[in-house]
Amino acid sequence: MASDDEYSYAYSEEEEDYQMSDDESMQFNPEAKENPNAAPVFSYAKKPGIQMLPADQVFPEMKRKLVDATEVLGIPEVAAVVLMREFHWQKDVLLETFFRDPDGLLKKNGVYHRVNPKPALNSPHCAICYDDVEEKMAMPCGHEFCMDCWHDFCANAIQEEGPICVCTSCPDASCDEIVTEEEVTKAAPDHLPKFRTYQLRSFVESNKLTRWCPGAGCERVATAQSASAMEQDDNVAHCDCEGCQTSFCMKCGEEPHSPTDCPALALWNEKCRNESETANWILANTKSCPKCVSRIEKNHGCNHMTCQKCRHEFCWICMGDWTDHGANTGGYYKCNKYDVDTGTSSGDDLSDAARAKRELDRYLHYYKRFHAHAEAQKFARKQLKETENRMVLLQESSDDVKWSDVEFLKTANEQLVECRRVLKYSYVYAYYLKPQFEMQKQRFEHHQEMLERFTETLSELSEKPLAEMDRTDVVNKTRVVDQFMKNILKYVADGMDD
Amino acid sequence: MAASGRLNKELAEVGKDDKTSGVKAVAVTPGNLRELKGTILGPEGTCYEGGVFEIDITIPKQYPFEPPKMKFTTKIWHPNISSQTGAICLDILKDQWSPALTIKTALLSLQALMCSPEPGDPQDAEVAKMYLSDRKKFDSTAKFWTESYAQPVNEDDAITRVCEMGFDRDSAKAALEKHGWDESAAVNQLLGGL
Repeated sequence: MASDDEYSYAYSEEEEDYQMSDDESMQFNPEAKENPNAAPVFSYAKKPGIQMLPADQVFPEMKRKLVDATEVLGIPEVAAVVLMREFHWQKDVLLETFFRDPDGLLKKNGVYHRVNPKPALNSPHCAICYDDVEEKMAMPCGHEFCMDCWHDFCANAIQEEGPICVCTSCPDASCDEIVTEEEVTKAAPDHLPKFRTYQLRSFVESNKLTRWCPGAGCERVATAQSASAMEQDDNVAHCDCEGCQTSFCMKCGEEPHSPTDCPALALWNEKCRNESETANWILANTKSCPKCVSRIEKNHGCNHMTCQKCRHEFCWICMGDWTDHGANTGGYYKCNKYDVDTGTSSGDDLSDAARAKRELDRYLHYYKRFHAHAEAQKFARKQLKETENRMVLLQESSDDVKWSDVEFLKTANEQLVECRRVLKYSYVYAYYLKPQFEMQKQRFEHHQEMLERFTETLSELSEKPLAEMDRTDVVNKTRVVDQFMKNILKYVADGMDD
Repeated sequence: MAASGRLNKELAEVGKDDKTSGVKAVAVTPGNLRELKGTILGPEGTCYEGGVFEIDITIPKQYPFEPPKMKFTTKIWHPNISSQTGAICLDILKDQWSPALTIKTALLSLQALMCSPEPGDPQDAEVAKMYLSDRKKFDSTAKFWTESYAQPVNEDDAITRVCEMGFDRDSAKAALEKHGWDESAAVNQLLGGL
């Protein structure tokens, strides 16, 4: 929506103020003064130890691990597959359990006879079709069936049961011996490729060090060299797929969610699913202008709203007057804190109903802000496309402008997407912060408030018409915002110690 | 698939000892081995004793690699069988099925289930709750249902009753057999045939 020039001035003063305070280290890159267009360095360098591999390159990796395990265990490879799967491909854990009670482990996982084969039972007829057949095939457990029935059995398991077919056991009702690649190769070679695909899939899915890229239709696999490669300092195992450009957390497969950790995010998502009806009802896509009550749909990223009808300026998040948010009043972006007193009029009412209402209010407070930043993130992402067009226009607007001179627009936009993402998850983090960390909570909210405030400013700046665009200003604000984002992440990563 | 040859052998096998085993299975219409009717005699010493329970059996295309679909058509009060639809909760009819099992073994398993219900894994929550909380009431309800819905038809009596309505013995018997000893359906057919 409309930007506010006055506010920009206010902002500049405020920024100087801010730099003077010594509790925040917000250093400008000294080189930046010489080259105001230098792009801020993004925080996510490629993590060593995590690789994105195309699916067909994962197969050799699986094979290598298998051969490895087979040699140590001294059992056939097809039996090792079953054991490794059971132990999530953690060889050390498997070896430890195996050598404590090898027979017990083999029996429990249906591969005992694979290692200690029994002779075939040699009954005259096949126990599936009841026909008398000469040529039969036996499992190591001794149960034998005719080749036709074996073929149909394997085919049925692979086609009808899908990925779980790798766990199929012997056709005999009371036998738990696992049907392996060996049987499929002999009896149903026509279904072997599919079986192998399922085996690879189970490798990726049961292995703690691998994960399919969550990008739609993407068949790459994130592979970590070791468990420690996935332990990164901001609660997320950040992973970027070169194939489809999707970013995700390798530990949980969700969008990178720093500063929140995976378990808290899972809790939050579950909560949002459960509360979605209530939240949706309250958060309909439109809001009324607090002054003239006309319905307003927010279709840009910035939270500074100006009503098209009455020109009233307000904050989309708290619906309060925008002037309360300015630097002059000292109010700033006072809309990120949940205030128990205004959240409910009866703070000490201990009845269940009042408690439930307080809890719902508290959740909605955080959800509203989470949701607002999620939407803003989507807008900012959409904006990226538009930004490229704007870059072309800006370059064409004057003769001596190089492409690198307009790239600041894209950098600013990308920074916005990142900030919205971090802000979004900062509300999840704050929701699960334990009440006894009151001091830390205040500090966290302070960082959050700063990031929010500068993100709004950058959002406004980057939406300005090209003619009014001040490159140095945008570049500086981008860098400032990046620094604030890093500050909040670092604060959490350092355990919120002062 | 090897299904039809095997099904014929299976049905012959069931027929051999249906008097002693207490279970039997026959094709609903001769020649169609996909739709069968199973019968289980209520096990002695249980609240189902004296009852005759009928089961709808549908043989899927992938049989015997997929389990037969079974459901009670006779109403029964049992924690693992729906009192409304007759649907059965039994592992071997689901993921524990194996192609080495047969219709007969499945029916025998059902008979065993009638002897020892598993209220911890219920199909009908209401019945299971009663089984666990008020065993006496459960027993009397199950007995009452057996007496009300699962009584064997005395074939001679049924034929005599239809004959009394003015039909000859042979056609009365044929009509009754065709309609599973449902007297009114048999009479309707006989009346329509006039």
